[in-house]
Amino acid sequence: MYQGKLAQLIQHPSHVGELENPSAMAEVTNPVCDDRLRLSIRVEDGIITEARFKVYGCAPTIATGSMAAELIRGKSLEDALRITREEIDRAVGGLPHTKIHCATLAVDAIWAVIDDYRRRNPV
Amino acid sequence: MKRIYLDNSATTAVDPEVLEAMWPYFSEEFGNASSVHTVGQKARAAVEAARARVAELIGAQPGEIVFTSGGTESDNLAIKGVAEALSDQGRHIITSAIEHPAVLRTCRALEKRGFRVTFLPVSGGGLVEVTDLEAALREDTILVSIMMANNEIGTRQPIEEIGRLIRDVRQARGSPYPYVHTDAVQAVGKVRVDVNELGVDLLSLSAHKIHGPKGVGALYVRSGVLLAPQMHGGHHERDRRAGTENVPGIVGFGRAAELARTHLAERQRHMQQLRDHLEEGIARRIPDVLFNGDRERRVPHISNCSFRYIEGEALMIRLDLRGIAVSTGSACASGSVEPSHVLTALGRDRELARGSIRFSLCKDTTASDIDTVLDVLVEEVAALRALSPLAQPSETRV
Repeated sequence: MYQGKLAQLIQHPSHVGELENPSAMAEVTNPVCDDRLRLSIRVEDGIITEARFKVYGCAPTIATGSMAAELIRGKSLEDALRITREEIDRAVGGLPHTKIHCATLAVDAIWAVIDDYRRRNPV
Repeated sequence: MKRIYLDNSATTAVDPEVLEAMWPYFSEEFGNASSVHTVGQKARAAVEAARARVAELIGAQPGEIVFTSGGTESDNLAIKGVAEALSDQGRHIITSAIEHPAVLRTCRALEKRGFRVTFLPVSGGGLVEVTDLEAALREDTILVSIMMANNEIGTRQPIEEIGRLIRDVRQARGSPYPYVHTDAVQAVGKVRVDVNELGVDLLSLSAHKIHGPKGVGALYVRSGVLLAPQMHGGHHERDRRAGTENVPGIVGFGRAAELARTHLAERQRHMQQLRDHLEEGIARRIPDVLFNGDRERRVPHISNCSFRYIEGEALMIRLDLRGIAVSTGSACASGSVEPSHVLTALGRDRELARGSIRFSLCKDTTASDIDTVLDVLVEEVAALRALSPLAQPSETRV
């Protein structure tokens, strides 16, 4: 059913969990299917130095959550905001067309956690 | 990777003996069973031998068996066929909320044609209350269609009691109606099924659930029951279902039925022992699990449980990636999840309905399969719970 990189990520995701005292944290819910993705980040000097995720949802969301955490690590907030769902889709090895929403949810989580950071740290 | 198949309620492997019986009817014995010449009559003889075997499996007469393309067609033929034949007697049908879609959607389609349908609720264990059925009966009720065993949770409905109730109602009314239909697709070959003990007028069965081929099934139609054909054409199946008989499929069905009848008791005992072993292992080794459906009144090959905090499809896919095939009540496509209508009718909340997994065994399942499944399941449930924002966060903080 799932093969290659996508299967690998579903079985062995990285950056799993929740940061202690994170700089920001957000949980997003897919309004239709109720999948949930929680992202916590540590930000130092405007750079995301660490990210962890948790997920409740269908299997590809495990992969896209893991990839979101991987891709934002080492990026500035501005660069992290530029990550697209197509980029996540490519990075996980290509989602089945009925599962593209799993990449959308990952992008939503990135936006939401950066929103949370900015609310906590108004300029 | 060795694959372990615990999705036998979806379909079963064709038994090698069944396949062997079918082979000649694809090649040298290729005749049309309606042809008068010798080639055709050989096919006819094979179809009639199969009909006798299928009849014997459910305690029917061969003339009461109509071959169809499968369980779905059998359900459609039974329900639409009775509705059409009896529409001047009444237009009310009673069924249950947890039927297979082949029954539910057929009833919904009839609602659009002016029939009224009562969908009986079920208890928390998934059982229809006969008193609810009695209360729902109306003067114009023409058909009661209640499944014998549920395909998701395996619960067995009280068909004998329903049969008795309807017989008394018919006697009191001096009427041959309503008829009783049961979808027995998940019961046949798993438990004893006898149409006279059950007191049913129509019963649906399918070959590929009992190690026969796909694309063939049957409807038992009690002698004397009025039924309007839903497939029109030649005079096949005594004008009840037109279309050239699927001879190899029917032959395979006949052999599968014969094997199911011969080995019923041992298969039943085997599946039940292993199912109980699986459930005992899950209950002992995995916390926060709820088993779905009545634990006593059920078929021996199905176990359905909900794992809290995790999603069924994710677990199904992670098990599949480790070589284990199961199924789930939640299937997410294009961003929409329909929680199982069966688990919803049982009163399970959305999270529990989504976290449900169905394990379904067969005669070929081994104890070592179950032990492997338990070991892998313990690991995968723990891994998904470690990922879940719904689980206790303290366990997975970094």
